[in-house]
Amino acid sequence: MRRPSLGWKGYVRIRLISRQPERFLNLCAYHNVMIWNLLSVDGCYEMNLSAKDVSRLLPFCRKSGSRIKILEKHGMPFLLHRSAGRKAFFLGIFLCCSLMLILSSFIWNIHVEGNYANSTKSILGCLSNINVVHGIRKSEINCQEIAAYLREQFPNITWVSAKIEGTRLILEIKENVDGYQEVSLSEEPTCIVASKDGKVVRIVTRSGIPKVLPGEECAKGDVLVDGEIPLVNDDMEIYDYRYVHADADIYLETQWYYYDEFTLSHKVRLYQEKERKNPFFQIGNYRISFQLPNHTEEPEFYDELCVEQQLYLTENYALPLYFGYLQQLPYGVAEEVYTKEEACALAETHFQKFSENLSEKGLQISENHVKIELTDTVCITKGTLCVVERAVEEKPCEIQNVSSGKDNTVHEQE
Amino acid sequence: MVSQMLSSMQIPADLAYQESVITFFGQREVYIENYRRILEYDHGRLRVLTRNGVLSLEGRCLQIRYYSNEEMKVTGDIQKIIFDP
Repeated sequence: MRRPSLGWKGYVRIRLISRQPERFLNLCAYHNVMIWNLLSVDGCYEMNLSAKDVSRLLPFCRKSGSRIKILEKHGMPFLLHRSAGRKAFFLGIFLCCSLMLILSSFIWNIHVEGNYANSTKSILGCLSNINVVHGIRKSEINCQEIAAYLREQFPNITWVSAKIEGTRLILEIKENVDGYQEVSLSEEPTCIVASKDGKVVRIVTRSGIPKVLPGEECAKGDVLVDGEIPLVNDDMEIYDYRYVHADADIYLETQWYYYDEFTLSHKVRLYQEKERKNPFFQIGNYRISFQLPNHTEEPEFYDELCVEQQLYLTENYALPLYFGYLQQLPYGVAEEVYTKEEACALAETHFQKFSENLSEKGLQISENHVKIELTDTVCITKGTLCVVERAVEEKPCEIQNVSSGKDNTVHEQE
Repeated sequence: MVSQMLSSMQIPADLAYQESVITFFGQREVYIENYRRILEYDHGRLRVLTRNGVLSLEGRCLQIRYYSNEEMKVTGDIQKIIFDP
């Protein structure tokens, strides 16, 4: 048997004063009056029993010559009785329940998971175009439409699941992680021409007639792969032309000129340890700053570091409330001159960055004739570079008429 | 004869003879089932009547956590158990 939970029904703790307490207890047991936490205290007995059983004790008291005294009252009936005059209390409970009910019919958290290539912010921004935002009513949400819209807007999203759990809209996304994208090939007849002067390093033709060989020089505008294919008869006479979209991988070695110059004397910042932090609180665009008392003078030169944090109601529901601090980092300015080694190292660093930028764009340096020259005041890095790049562009073919009154473009199926 | 019949029917002894079942958990807790009534109770002593006699528990801070017509749970520092036929 377990003591029943009487929080809702209420229970009392009573004190029994009796000459025959055992008889009283046995009468209670016999009439199924549930008693728990029975304790003998100073010749009396204290026990708990349910509120509705208290009225049944009167005959037992009469029979056993006992008296009872209620010590404590617990549970909801007594709480309601005590709070009968407190209208605001019940009004508060009613308003709380109403508010819970109303708020639970809105979406307060949009959770996005499984996204790697597309940021959560961009996905939420996209959803806001169809009015799916934090605070939208649940009844206005169509999960299938949301999933279809996301697939349409983000081509690299292959699968979307949208579901509502409580007040959360959960979007599970799977993306195309191998990075393959189908390239739509144009059917327009074109040829490939050089966009710069250079030397052909490598050429692999897939469609069209190559006009140059590896090692040959070409000038800007020269046709490298022709999209015009002559059709000859048995006598090796051209009777028509077939036009295709020229397609080839062509790498040209072109010449670049590199120039970088900086003065040897330069200014350096010597940061001081007198930092100053001013906290602030921002609502929308209105910022409230709290200037801390500071007895030191305003520094002449300083960097200002702003550390700002936005408040979020839920995971992705940002409120227009910010807090943080502005930190002043004062510094002094000193004039210094680079040594020969420092200047060379800096020039090499600049050139290294330039090379890395080229590599990121898919360009490769094949020859390097860059030299560093130092004068009394400046450091100059200059020279030529041979860069292997895809310096080509497409150009529409000129359609030639061999026989008048006839369409010269011969389609592939012909 | 009766006992042989009851044992052949595999009826538990507490049901067959209405004997008390007393379960101890160390010295701090005891369950008493099939008792008849409370004879005496204070914080140092509890006497209950069973079918076969009187069961006395002696100790300190004895408290009846709950009781009904059939069973009760007693906690406290139990030091002595006495069966008086």
